[in-house]
Amino acid sequence: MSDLHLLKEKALKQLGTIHTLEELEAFRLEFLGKKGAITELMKGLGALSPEARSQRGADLNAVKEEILTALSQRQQELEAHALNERLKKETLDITLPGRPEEPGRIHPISHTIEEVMAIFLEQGFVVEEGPDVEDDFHNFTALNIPFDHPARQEHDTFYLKGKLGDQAAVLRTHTSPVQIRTMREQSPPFRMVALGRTFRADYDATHSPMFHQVEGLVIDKNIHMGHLKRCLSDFLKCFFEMEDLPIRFRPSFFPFTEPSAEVDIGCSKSKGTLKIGGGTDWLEILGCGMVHPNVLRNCGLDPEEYQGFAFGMGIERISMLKYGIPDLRLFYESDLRWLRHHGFSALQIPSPLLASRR
Amino acid sequence: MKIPFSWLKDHLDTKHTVEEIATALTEIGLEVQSILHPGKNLTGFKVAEILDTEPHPDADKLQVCTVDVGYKTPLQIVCGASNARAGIKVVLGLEGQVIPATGLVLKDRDVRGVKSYGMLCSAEELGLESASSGILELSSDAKIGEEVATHMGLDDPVIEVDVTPNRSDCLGIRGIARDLAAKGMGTLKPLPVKVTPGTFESSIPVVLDLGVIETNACPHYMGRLIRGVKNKPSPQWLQKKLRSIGLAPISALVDITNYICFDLCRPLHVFDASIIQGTLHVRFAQGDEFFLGLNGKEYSLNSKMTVVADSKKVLALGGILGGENSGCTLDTDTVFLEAAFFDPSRIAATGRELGIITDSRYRLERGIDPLSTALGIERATQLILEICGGTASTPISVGHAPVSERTIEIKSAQLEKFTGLSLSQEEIMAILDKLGFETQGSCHVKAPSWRPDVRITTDLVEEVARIYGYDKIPETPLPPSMPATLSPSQQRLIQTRHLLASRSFLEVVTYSMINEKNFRLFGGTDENLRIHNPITVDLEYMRPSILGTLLDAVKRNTDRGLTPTFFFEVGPQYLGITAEDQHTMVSGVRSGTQGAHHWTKEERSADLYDIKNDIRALLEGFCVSPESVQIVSSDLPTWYHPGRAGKIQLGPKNCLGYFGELHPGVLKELGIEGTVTAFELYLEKIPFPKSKAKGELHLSPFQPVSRDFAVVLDETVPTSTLINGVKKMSPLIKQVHIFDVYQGPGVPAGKKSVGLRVRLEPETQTFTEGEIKDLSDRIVDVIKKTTGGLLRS
Repeated sequence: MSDLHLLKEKALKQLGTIHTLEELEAFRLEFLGKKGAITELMKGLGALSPEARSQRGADLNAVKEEILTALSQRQQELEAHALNERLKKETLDITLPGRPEEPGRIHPISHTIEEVMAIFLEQGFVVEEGPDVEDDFHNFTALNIPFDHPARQEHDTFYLKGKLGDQAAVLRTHTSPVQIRTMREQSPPFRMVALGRTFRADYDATHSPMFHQVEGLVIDKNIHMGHLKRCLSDFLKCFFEMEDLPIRFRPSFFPFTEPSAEVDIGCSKSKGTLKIGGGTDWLEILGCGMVHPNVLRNCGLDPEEYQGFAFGMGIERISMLKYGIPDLRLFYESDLRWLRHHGFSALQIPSPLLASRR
Repeated sequence: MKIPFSWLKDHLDTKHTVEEIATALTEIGLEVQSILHPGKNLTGFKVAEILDTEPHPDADKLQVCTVDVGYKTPLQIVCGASNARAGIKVVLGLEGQVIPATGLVLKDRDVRGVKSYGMLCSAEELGLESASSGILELSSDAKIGEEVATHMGLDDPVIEVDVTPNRSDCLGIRGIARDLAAKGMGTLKPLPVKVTPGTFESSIPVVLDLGVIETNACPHYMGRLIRGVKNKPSPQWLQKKLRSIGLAPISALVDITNYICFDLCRPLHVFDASIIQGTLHVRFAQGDEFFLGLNGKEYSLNSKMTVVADSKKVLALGGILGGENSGCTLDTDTVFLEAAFFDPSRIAATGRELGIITDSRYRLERGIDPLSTALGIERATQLILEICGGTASTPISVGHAPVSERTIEIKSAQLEKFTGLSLSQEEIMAILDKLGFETQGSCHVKAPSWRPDVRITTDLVEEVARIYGYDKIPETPLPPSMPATLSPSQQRLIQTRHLLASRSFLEVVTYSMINEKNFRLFGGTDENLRIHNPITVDLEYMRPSILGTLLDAVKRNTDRGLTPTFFFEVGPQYLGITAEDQHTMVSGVRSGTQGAHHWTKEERSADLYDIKNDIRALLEGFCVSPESVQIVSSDLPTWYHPGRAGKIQLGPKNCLGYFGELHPGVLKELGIEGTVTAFELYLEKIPFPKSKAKGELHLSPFQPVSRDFAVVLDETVPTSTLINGVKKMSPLIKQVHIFDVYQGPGVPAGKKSVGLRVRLEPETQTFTEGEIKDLSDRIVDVIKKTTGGLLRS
């Protein structure tokens, strides 16, 4: 017995002095390798009587297990130590910038268009489209704007050299012609918005020859101004993410609606900054009204049967107000500093899944 | 439209404050822009008289004035102004008051040993003029002790409102007062007009000389001759009124017409009758006629313009502008007074064509009250006689006022149907009555002549709703509806943006319009796309390609040292003016170096293969297999580099777009240095996946094998030929990668060496060595057959 005991003592003692994985491997070979001490003793078992062999075998196995366990434990210690040593040496300057990659951005106009669409889609509005180059009929006449009407002059229309049929071709001055197209080409009831480019011959700090509008139309048999008020109030509160946004409807005039209204939202202006909500000032935000019977008639609808409301607002304007973008002209400058600053990340997708309101 | 508060009170009996009136105006649709208090800073400054002056004992330029401001004893004030003298009325500021121009607070003080109890002020110090010399002298009728602001008519708040184009009646103060009265903000006072009977017949006859068909150009003309007038500066009350709306007083005769124009929205004109020779004709101008307006400008007229002329010459451009030579002066002793109704459309067209904007045109083109002609004549006569004296002829009236009588129905049910408001029929009729509508039976009204805009029931609905208050309309939710969805093509626009934004692209929005050079460079040929009235030549044509405006954006940025520019735009381009010619594109450019001066030294320019990846990512994003499209080098637009660009197509007839380096010549024309790679995709032409189910995928459980081949082939052979040839050979070939392309030593000139890795996947059992060798040999054969390439030895 004592030879095995001594062997075990020797092995465990020796193991205590081992400090590297290489030494550990040498140790393993010395005791457990093909020619190791334990292996050699195993070989001697054959010469023993069956009872002695059985006893001796069991003893040997016990010693072997003990050494193996100790070795494996030592190995783990050494490996942990070695890893620690390695990790101490392995450092990178984590503050160095990563590999070059430019940040992408969504333009604020697109982002705002997506936001507006998301809100109206939830209320069951479909999104309709129409061409940028319109004929006189769709842009004016059908909308109850006769040729010599002062309102027509106020639109500062761009005219193209070409003609559409026998009519003047204009760059649409508003998105309202999409209303006309929708009503003429489809059947009521209607609940639609149209968003897109619009053009007016005007250029200064607050006017751009091209800008964007959203147009809305709801036509059915019993749609009245109460619906109009609720629908637009909901939209504005949702868009500006403000449940208690003050909203004011005041009478106004548009040739294509009767009665007509302009909508103001409450704001406060102080020290040159504008804050939406609260305050004592009002800010005009959109125009709306009940669709004029002449417009319905021009679209083949019977005003005795169908009625409803329409509205229009400027995308850039609501974008500037919501996101505090000061200068209209910079929207179209494509200055990459501006785009990075005011643009939205690829993941900012207005969707019920990602909505920030509520 | 400016509404001085006191002027409003000429017509409206009200106890409301100016702020309350302003709120009501906005509520009824007369949007208030501002309330001005012109004399606010002058509060406390008083009218005073210098009774006596004495030289200052200790200063050459100062005087010691004795000033009466209505106190028991006059005040002693030291003044340095050279015009300070006894007998003049001046403006006095007392201790504690703030000088408007300087912000200084006045204090009684000692000026070189003489006490001074206030300050005599100049117009400059009072903030009335930007520069002035000496103290302000007031008119001799100024009342001592009166507030200066009151004396000068500056104590009156002025409300400025935006009048919508339909409300011509509110371009006169009286119309505004009427609306306010209907809103319950006071009572409309009766008009103070007195009819003056004529004492003789006018010696100047009037003829409407407009032909039978065109009589609507001037359907009604009234005139009156007034003799023996003495023209002179207007009295203070009238001058104050005109000043308060920003008009300069000229002379009584002219001022009276201006006053009535703003008071009653009734434009008038006064001619110096001594200039008129023979009969007055209202006629169309002749083609070669010129007219010198009283603004000093000469206008060339045409036969669509209505003029008032005598037998020799044009005297006025009807309803728009008086003539320089026929206007009234201080010497005028006989006037011919005109009040007429001119056709609004024709007024608008003439005014627009000649670029003349006058208060008269502004009102007439919006449609004034056709029945106000006689009212205008009588009111003006009354004031002229009152101020300038004289005797009036019997009025002349030619033609008839174009009044269309309209009886319109309004029922409470109709109001409720359109607005959700439930008012009784009586309440509705009461509101309309106050607005001047004539009740006819229980639910019909006749619109007043000054409201040509009110024609149909919905117009009345608006009248009632706006006066009753839009704020009282109850909010009602829309009938419930399922949420709507975007169409697949609309969704694609959104997907495109977000995908490209995640690939380092900045989205831009650029104008649809470009300059002619840019138009031509990008294939523009259709002159129909030219804008007839551009605001600048830079925006003269509709863009035939988005790349034109994207390159402008690249240039603007690189000129400012801002790089790299990776821009895209999703938007329209125009090949013609019809709706079918407008295409929704996604176009992008990559220009400049990514990673310049970066510590990783991984600097490289964006190139064609970046752009190719962008297109691949888009197609993958749209669930279109990039393998299903073909890339060919034929039929490229002229703005691409002929050897470094490609067309993307789905079959030879379906072009999806283009990509590649832009033509160096085009870049040079646009002033852009270096290379720019770009792509353009027709979003509407990219197909949608046919079905949502994708079919079963068979996953082989057997070990796949990769084999590499180095092939030498002609440099002109497209790599795609090599890849496609190998791929088509066997269904066991799952992938073909190009891992190397080499030209140089070891490869003959005109040839290239291409490294190809082929991945083979067995279907029924693991490959044997023999099968692999067999497949490899067949690959080599196919390569040779399809490309002429040989294994590199």
